[in-house]
Amino acid sequence: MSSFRRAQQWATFSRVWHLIDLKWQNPYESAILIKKYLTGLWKPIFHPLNNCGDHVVVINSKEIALPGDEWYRRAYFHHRTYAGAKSWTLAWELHEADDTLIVQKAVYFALDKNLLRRQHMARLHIFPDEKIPPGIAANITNQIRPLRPVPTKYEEIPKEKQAQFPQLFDFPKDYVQGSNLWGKPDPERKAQPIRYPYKPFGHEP
Amino acid sequence: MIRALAVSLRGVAVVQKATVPIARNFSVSPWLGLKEIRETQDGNTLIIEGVNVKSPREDLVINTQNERGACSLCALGLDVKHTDILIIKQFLDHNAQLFPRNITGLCRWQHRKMKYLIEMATRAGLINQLLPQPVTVPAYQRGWRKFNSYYDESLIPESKSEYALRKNREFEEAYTLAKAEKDAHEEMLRARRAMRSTNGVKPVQLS
Repeated sequence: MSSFRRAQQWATFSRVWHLIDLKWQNPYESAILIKKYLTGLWKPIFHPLNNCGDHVVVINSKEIALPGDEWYRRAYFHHRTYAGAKSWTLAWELHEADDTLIVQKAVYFALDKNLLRRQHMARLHIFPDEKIPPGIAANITNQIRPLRPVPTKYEEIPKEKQAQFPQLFDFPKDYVQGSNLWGKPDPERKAQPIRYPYKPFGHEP
Repeated sequence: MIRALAVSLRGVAVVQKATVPIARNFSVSPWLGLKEIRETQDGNTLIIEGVNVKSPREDLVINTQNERGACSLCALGLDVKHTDILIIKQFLDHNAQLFPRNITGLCRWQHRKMKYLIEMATRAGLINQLLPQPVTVPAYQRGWRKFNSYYDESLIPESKSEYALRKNREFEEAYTLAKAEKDAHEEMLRARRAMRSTNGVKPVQLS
């Protein structure tokens, strides 16, 4: 056995620590990705009853993004087992109360419903921002690529890049910058006679 | 250097956002472009001249002229997303509104798509800087708006005529498939009936 294969086998049986940045990411799409590492699906020794999962460290869970109007459409149900003690919390209200709970629930829903689910969840470490405790940061050896690109706001783009960006059209010669009335119909234009007078069928003389 | 905007006599207070507010705006000619008034002192003579200002995007314009006369976005074949704000920004005027088609030269399809992209970018908070009145609501009153949200471009509704055409095409395909299936079934039934009537012996075709 070569030294590379030996190290590969050690890595297979060890618990690897992965890092993922959830800035501007959909937690429900990313949860499927996290599940692959959390349960050890990528390992050759994987079996649903085999406890071979890895650790996943999630950062920037405060800056997740939901599509469209899902912040106020998605509701989380909770029942305290008393009569009339059920509640529906909207996603933005839950996120306001706790920055990590939506990611945690998304991964919990994505995992298989078996006895290993709680043990897999125990290996998920969620942090609302980029600050990781040094004890956890020292273990990380791999970074998972996020699914969607992080958009840049207009004010974040440097001025030089804005000035050099290729343009798709040029203004007409007589265009007046800053006017609201360019291209609008003339308000003082008189009503023009209709060019083709209306002649309904069947009423010709 | 003074920048002056000439406007027509027809409109009173036409220009709401001139580059430099001047005492009075008047001209006898219909519309004049953006001009720059230059004063040069040459000995005892003072020369004042108005020069047409060069468009800022003159050197940056891509040549998208083509034989078919397609618009610039169609000719380039760009798949514009609502996060491509440097492309979207070119189609916005000083009030962050979409320019009319006689300025941009877009086709109806792209113009309609651009309307939706601007709305998406505005809601995602990517072009807050360009809006005439930036959002100044405090965070505790903003509710869900203080969190990030993104939008899906494939959900932009199509125009009615395109939708009808697509539905028609889908119906025709399904109809031809179902008809072929039905014909094959009937053919099979007819063959079986013929077999039964001849008591298991294949009918001989007499010419």
